[in-house]
Amino acid sequence: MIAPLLAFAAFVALAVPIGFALGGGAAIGLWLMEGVPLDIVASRTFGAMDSFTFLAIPFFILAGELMETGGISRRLIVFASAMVGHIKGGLGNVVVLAMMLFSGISGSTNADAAAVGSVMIPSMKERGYSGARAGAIVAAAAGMGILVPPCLTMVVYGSVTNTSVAALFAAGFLPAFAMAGALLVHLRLQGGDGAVPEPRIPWAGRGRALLDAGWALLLPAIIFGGILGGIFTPTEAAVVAAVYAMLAGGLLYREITLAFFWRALVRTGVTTGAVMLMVAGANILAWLMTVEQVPQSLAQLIASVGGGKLGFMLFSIVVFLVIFALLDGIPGMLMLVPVFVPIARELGIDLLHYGIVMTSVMGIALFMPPIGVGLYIVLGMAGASLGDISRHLLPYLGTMLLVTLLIAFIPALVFLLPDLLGLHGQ
Amino acid sequence: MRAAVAPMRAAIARLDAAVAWVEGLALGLLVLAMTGVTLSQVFWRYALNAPLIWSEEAARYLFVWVALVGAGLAMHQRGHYALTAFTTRLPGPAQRAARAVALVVSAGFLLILLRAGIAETRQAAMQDSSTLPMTMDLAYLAIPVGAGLMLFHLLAGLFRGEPEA
Repeated sequence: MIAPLLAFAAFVALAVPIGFALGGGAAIGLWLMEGVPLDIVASRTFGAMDSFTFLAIPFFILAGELMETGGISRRLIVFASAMVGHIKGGLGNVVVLAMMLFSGISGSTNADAAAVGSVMIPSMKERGYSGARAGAIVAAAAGMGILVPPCLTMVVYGSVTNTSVAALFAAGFLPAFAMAGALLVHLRLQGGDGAVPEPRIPWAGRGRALLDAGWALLLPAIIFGGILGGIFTPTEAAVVAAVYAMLAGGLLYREITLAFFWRALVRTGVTTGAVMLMVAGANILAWLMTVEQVPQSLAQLIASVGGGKLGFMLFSIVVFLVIFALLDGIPGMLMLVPVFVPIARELGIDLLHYGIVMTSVMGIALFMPPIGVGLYIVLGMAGASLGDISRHLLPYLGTMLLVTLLIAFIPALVFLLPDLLGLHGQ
Repeated sequence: MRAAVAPMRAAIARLDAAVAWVEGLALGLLVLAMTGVTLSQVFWRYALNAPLIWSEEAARYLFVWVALVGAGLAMHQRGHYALTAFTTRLPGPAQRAARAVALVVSAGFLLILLRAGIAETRQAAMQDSSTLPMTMDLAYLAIPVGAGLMLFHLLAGLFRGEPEA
């Protein structure tokens, strides 16, 4: 029963695309089992994709694609700057607030880092931030932003583990605020080059910025209000977000052309295909693991080592950090879910809690030197060396890891909001 | 020999690009249709208060097609996620060997998926959709088509030459 897992790990290490490695490993397991028709590969693939919840993925990707050039990101940043630029810590605060707003619309962390970074890093450099420090702040804030719903990672996690996506979204809020708060305090204590307060913008100016960003700010309101209020399913909210971004960018701000729109459609399809192929592979392997009762055996093994829930949580955090840094977040998650989530369930860990911890670690790992994928997006924009940016970034990541441990060991942070909204515990 | 191979290479590369062009066109239209159907569902339910019966199932099957055609085009664009951190550190010959193994594993899985997909599609021809006037093979057909497209791009990519990493 361990053969498919070993084959899968070997395939991944040999740079077989993750989806094929998952499916190939599972196929070996099926072949060893005898008597199981290989047709199961196709029916599990269809079963994985035939899901209305997963439809949220292409729509959130499309919304992100359209927003990057739709003028929405720029207006959100101007608004954030008018609100918090004058507080000690200066533009660093602006980055954190802008990232919260932006992540509240887009579902993709790499898109957030690119969109906010491309606007903020140049102006931070003008104010005397070094490129490395500016890049590090953008990276840290983007890593925090993954917890702000809507979040692609949560949609995928929710769908593959049968956890309510709406509950995951609600659960992300408090941890996101805790992490943003920790980063703001860190920036304030740190001070340093360039972190001078901007001139205070009078309320009239703030009003103008609010008005100009109004259409953009309305979007998170629709998404959250719709999902948390139980009006929309996450998928319906996602399609509304995509169409809204299209209309705002194309008709109101007039920055989306037809040619760009078409390219965004095709790119969305390609990204969706790459993600769903992995989902299909994970679904085949997960079926095999369930049939073979692998999670039960592994859970027993872990129980015999001792440590229980907390030990397993810590162990998970370490593994997540490594795997999510090696791979982009969602591929890494799809790789780990078939093995880790059943063990967590077996040990009695709430899957809502586990998913939020997983997402939080992903935010850190995506920017972890020297291999985090997101780090390289920021690196290009900052024009700094890997060593310089790492020196600035590691303390922020340390703060974020501390908050992650808080989230892991104080489940109330996660459960409070879903409980209040009645989304938890179905 | 070599003189005969060059035009064949060029022809395969042209075919590869042509297939990718058609995939791009189909994919854009599929994503558009999927968006339109899902948006209609929201509109009819909340604005007209007359929920559509067929929209959710239609959106789901369009999504299956988007995912599989998209996976095909992703193959052409070398957009499937893979962990390259280890293999790029290997010496040249070992790297080529790893690439060969990766090719065999990918092609092997895709062949299994293609065969299984054809079998499932045949079976689904006898099953009616619950809300749409069609049989289920139209939805299941996406699997052999997608697997076939991925396999085609995987093999055609051999003639395109790997970019030296």
